[in-house]
Amino acid sequence: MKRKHLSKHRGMLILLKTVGISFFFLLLFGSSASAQTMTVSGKVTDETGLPLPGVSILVLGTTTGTVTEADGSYELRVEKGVTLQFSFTGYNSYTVVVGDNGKIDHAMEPSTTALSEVVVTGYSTQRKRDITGAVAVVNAEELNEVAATSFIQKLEGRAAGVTVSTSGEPGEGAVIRIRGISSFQNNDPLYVIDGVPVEDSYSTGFNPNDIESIQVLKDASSASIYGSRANNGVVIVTTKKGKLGKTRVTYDAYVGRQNPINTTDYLISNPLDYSDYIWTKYENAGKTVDASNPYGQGRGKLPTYTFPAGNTADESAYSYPDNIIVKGNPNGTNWFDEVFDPSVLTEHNIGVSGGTENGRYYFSTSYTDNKGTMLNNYFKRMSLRANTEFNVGKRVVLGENLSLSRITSVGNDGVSGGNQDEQGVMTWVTLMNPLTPVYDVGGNFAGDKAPGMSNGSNPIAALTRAKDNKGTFYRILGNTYAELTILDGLKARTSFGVDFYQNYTGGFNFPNFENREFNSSNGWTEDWSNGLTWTWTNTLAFNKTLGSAHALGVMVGYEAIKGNYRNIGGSLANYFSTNINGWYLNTGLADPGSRVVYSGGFTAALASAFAKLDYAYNDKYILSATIRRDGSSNFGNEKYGVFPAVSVGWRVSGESFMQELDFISDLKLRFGWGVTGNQRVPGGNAFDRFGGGPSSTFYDISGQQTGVTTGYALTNRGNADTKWEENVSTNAGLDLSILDGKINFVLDVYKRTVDGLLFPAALPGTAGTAAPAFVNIGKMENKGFDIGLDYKAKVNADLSFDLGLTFSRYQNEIISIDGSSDAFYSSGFDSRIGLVSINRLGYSISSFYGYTADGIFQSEAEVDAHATQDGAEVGRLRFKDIDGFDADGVLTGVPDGKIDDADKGVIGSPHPDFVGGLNLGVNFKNFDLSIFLFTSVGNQIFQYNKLFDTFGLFNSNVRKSVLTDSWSETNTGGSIPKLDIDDTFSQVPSSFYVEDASYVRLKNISIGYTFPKVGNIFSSLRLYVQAQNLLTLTGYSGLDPAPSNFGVQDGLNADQWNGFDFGNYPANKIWMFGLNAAF
Amino acid sequence: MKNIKFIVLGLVLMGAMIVACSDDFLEAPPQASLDEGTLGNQQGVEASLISAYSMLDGWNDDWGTFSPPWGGAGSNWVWGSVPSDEAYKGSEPGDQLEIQQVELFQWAPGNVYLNVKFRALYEGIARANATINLMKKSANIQEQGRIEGEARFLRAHYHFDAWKIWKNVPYYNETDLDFRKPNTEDIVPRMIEDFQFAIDNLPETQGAVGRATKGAAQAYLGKLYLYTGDFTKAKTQLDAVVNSGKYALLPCFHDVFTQEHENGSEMIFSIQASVNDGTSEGQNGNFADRLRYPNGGGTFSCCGFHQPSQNLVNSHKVDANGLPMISTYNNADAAASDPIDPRVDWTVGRDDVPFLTYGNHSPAWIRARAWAGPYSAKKFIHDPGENAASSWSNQQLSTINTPIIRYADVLLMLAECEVEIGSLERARELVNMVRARAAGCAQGPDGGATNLNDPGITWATYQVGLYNTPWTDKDGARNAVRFERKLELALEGHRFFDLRRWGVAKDVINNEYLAVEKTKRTYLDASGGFEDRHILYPLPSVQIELSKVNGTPQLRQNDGY
Repeated sequence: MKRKHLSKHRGMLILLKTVGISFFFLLLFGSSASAQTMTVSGKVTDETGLPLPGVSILVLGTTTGTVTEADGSYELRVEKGVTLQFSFTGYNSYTVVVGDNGKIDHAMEPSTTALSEVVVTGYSTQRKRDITGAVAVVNAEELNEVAATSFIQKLEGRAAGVTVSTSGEPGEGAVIRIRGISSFQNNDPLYVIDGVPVEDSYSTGFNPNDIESIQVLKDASSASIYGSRANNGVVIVTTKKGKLGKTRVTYDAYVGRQNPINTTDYLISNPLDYSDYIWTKYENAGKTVDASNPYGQGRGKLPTYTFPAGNTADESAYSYPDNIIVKGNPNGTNWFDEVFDPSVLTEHNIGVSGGTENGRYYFSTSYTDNKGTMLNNYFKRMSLRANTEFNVGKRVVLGENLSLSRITSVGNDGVSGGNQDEQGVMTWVTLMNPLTPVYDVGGNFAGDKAPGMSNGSNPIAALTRAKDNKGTFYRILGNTYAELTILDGLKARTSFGVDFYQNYTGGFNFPNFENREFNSSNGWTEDWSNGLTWTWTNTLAFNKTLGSAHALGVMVGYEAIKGNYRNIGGSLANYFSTNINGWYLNTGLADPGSRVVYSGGFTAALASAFAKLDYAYNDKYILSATIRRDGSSNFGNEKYGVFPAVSVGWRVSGESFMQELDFISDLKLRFGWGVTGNQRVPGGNAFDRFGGGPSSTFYDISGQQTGVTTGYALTNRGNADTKWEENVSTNAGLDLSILDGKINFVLDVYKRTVDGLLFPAALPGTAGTAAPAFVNIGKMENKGFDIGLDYKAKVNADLSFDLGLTFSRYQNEIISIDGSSDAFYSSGFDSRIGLVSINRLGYSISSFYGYTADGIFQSEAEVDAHATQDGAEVGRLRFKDIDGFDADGVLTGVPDGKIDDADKGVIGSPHPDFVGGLNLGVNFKNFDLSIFLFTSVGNQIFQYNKLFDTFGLFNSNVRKSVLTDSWSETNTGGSIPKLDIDDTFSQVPSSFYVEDASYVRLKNISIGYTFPKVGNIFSSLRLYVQAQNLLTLTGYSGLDPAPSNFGVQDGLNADQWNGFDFGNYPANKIWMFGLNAAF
Repeated sequence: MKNIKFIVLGLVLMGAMIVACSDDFLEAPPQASLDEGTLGNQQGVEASLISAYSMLDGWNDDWGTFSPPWGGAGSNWVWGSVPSDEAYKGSEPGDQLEIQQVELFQWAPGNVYLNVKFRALYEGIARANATINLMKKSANIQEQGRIEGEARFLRAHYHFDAWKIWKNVPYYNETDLDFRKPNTEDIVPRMIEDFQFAIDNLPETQGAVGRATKGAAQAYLGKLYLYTGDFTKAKTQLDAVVNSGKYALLPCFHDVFTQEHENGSEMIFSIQASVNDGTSEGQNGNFADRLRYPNGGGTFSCCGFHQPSQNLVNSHKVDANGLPMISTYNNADAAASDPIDPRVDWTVGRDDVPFLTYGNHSPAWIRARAWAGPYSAKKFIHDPGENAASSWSNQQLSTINTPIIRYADVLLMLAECEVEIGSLERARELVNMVRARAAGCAQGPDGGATNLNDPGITWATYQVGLYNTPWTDKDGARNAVRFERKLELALEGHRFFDLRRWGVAKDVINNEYLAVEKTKRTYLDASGGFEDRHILYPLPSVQIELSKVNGTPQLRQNDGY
């Protein structure tokens, strides 16, 4: 005991010491004293004379400087004769030599082009005007227009060629795809956060308020410097840094109300309507609803009790769970309404930043609480950030970026299979019968328990029981760095980054006696995992202008990355008490025989060397070349890969023949070619791996009945020759800036060909089921173009507006699968109707597969005249005869009068013809308005939900339209097959499930008012109201035309299931009120 | 301040060294797995062999590969029972559409359940072959004959299942590495070789009850010969099993399907099921058969598949002598007053009859009575007192073993041989052994077994008579043997394959069964009926695609698909 106390005490001492030392350093660097100086002060305005706050003023050749206050004023102590540089984004920088006069005012001139901005690209910074690759730059201002928990959601529509999908689930990881899809596996881009590459999607753990800017490297010529992992593009995130000047405190907050989308009445909610539906369905098949069914008393007759079904029950004999009594709800239960309710979301962010000549800092802390519209869902994030940078002498800069975050959440996942899953709330909402009440007569949860009711779970019960099935996620991400200026123009930089995370999930399964498919046992499962990846990056960069014409930049570097991951978990069942305080894996608490434990892990390392050359002649001819050599521990014999890229630019506007076209302020043509790689194969891929477990390879050879004997088998095939996947990409682009930068236009046309695509191509079944090794076998191509156009106009001093348009299109095509197969079916989802998603040569990934539905059989004569079709009858779907098999089972290409597998084919594609975004911003005096519209055209959805909401599988509830739009002798124009309990034949996969899901969505509209100065409290204050997803125009009959990718949680095969709607948590409408204050 | 420059430069140089010795830096051995070298000893070889047994149930907890698992079931309920006259798919319309397509003879190569079965069987074969290879590669392995014998027995078993379903399948032994072999070879001689090796090398009794024995190999070889129509050779093997004295019928029919007696004297080879054995969801408890539990009844909650047909229930009716009504059984549906074979209530869950000790079966136990009738599958359902597990629904994974070959099966197969060879009296004797045992017990009022005349039995009149008149007519004898098989082995996955090998599938299924049954279960109207191509199942189209070499599939599709 004593020892423990001592060591604890010691720990405190060390902590205090550390804090003390930090303060000491802060004081050291924070104090500035110079003997022979003068004070310079003044006021900086914009071209109209309005004060311009935040302009940075730097003593050239030093790091001394300041920024202007809210009223545009500044004050700085400098030595006489130094040169001051005034700079501000969007304005020309201005330099002036300090003479005797200590007062220097300046009116900044808007830059002729925004291209003078400096942006971070691979391992270095570059003037935007010199970029020769395809790079989308999104600044903080644009990001701040939309309030969202993830910065990825904020990127939607901001950068042409970048698509984002998400659901309404709070904090759900959004999925980002850059220029189509390049792999059958993981298509997430590489994130580079303050120089630290992070492979795992870091979207939700990150406080978006900390972001200064985002660059999306879209093509290989820009991304190839990250060669190894750049196949899916690179998203470079730069967080905020302190600026010279006194301490600035900002407070940004919003509070909002989320409303579930207004489609609550799409399902039948009146039990009498349901009675009609079910009776018609039975009678059309020559049957009557069985007496054991609650609706069995006759059409239009509802029982008093649904379980046990009938008009009488002895409620006094009720006991749970042995004698459950459920009274019907004759008014109908609207399960969607029960599950979804408006909810509150809120965020608070405090930022503190500032700096002196010798040190700069940015601290932030934020809290986000997003309660979902689905019962008991929430997402909470707390984060802290500390970015500091110090000058040590004139040649050394030391700094660090550090963020800590903690997320706790309860989502759809904690309930069941998660979003887009049949065992999920969205499907249960459809399945549950309207006659079933939420609670039984004893106040316990009620369910579809009677025969003839659905196999769904009461979603209120499931969500209530899962309210404590919480996930907790910690992440520490940051780096420390040092930069040394060796000579003028020659800089060495070293950065050591760490990405650490720890993830914990626990879930208790309660008995659910109220359901038809009930479970009487309980169980607890918990998983804990952590991972640590460190990245050490060292670069040496040389920048020099030789003479007046030659600008040269050379950079060489190397990088070492090592990561490891470890998880442990287990489960235990049949707890004596379901009390939360007993949710542990201790066998004393439950049935020890049920305990399962497991653990796993992997390690991975990368070692890389890279170089970059930038050369510009006369600012007109620009050449950029990069090369990277990567070594990866993921491979066996072929560990190393080399990834070159080259791009050239021609500033046409710099040529003399262009001088007469003075409305063109800048015109640049770009062309880039490059190779990127992909090394995403599971650890150990080079080796044959053996193993197994009680469920897969053990066997009860001695007939114990409650025990098994150990067995091992080959579980994974290895391939030591697997090597880097190569993505060869070419990009041609045009940057045009006209009318002094009022109009900017960017066009990029590209082609990306992935060769040696890493893919665990299926082996014939005769090889056994050991997981095939990832081999370099497939080939995929993406072609497309991105267009960005913006127009800025200033009507007068009070009114200005800007308009931004993005437009992009890609076409994805599978060129080769394994050299032999023409197609494979998407894996990871077990459809109830057979194969529905195919990846076929010549088509795009995740094409919909099935018959081509060709209307409904209208008459016997039509049935007779049609090709032979299983279950063909009047009122059922008619499928097209397209092809036939020969005797060997090979397609002939000729219809054979028989509807069979030969007639199944690609029936649709989830990939849009194009997507576009429209941003409109208006500033009038102190008001600002922004509107963002997003559209996707030509994307289709395979609406798997029709199996339930239209065909009524498992006696599910159905859409109201089934009552009116089903085919019958009196409604021959009906588009839904005739109601018929025996008609299982119309349910097979066909284009009946496929719908066009083109949509236009008003993603965001916000109006703000900025108070120029509020007393002495705020230096600026902006209040705004914002609405998200206010309006969606679509012909899609499902809940949301933009469903999140199915299987996102599972990561790997997500893109093999694009465009499938398996029950998606729809996006919410959000109203919020917020403020941005600076002190 | 100079020091800091040196520190920075020093760090840069250290970084350079890391990259320089990056070959070590880039070593990442696989985690949480074994390599083949570790397994190259007695323990490893035995463990490899266990894994080959572990595929007998057709399920290795891999939803990615076996989705959904039901088609892979070692019991063959999907392929051997549902399309025959003894059972329906069950449950409700549209649930497990692919099984319904099997039932309605809408057989398509794209039916994913075919692929699941194919992959399960060849995984079993791969594991058996891996065991033999590992054994031969490793030094000092004891009992090589037994190990190879068991491995080859299992290999032949998996191939036999594939041959039974598709006939035209490739044979893989431990030296075959070409996974794209054509399916043109007649694999029967290869199976015979393997079973013969097993007979020559396996002991009559094994320490662990689940292992293949000499008797199991003899019975299986006999069965194989029977399937090929070689009755003489079949008889030799089956006689050897009977004469070994190792096996005997249990006194009560139901005992075969109880935890207590499942490994008793009647079991020749079976799939050993277990639960609460370190698996989280009863994955070894007949996972792929779990759908056949009743859909209600207080204990069970899903799924009501594999419902017995009216035809099967009617088949249990007996005449005044307690003998089956082979030609007239289906003229009228079994009424409560009809004398009936007591096996019916061990095989089929009927309303108002005790369902083991779960209480009386009632209409609420059935999911869609108007659709697939009033009966539940009962044969393999465990008693509440026996070990079981739950996963998504209640108590649907049990430790009741699934017989591959049991002694009653051997007796009836031998009886078939005797009939064809002409020893009708021996056949009668064998059938009577089975019938006498059938008379040994009946479902009792308290849920347990009782005698046929228990006055507590109010729901039926049980009666089983023996064939006391000598058999002189070969056709009649043949019919009696076959009918006995239908009753004794009902719902055990044999019926469809039996009808097919007897060459009567088309007639029995279309004329005897569907013509009558569709008047009772109208959804059967949509059945295409048994056509010539249904003599074999179609090879899974996925496998044909994967067998391509230079664009040409090596697996040829069976005729008619």
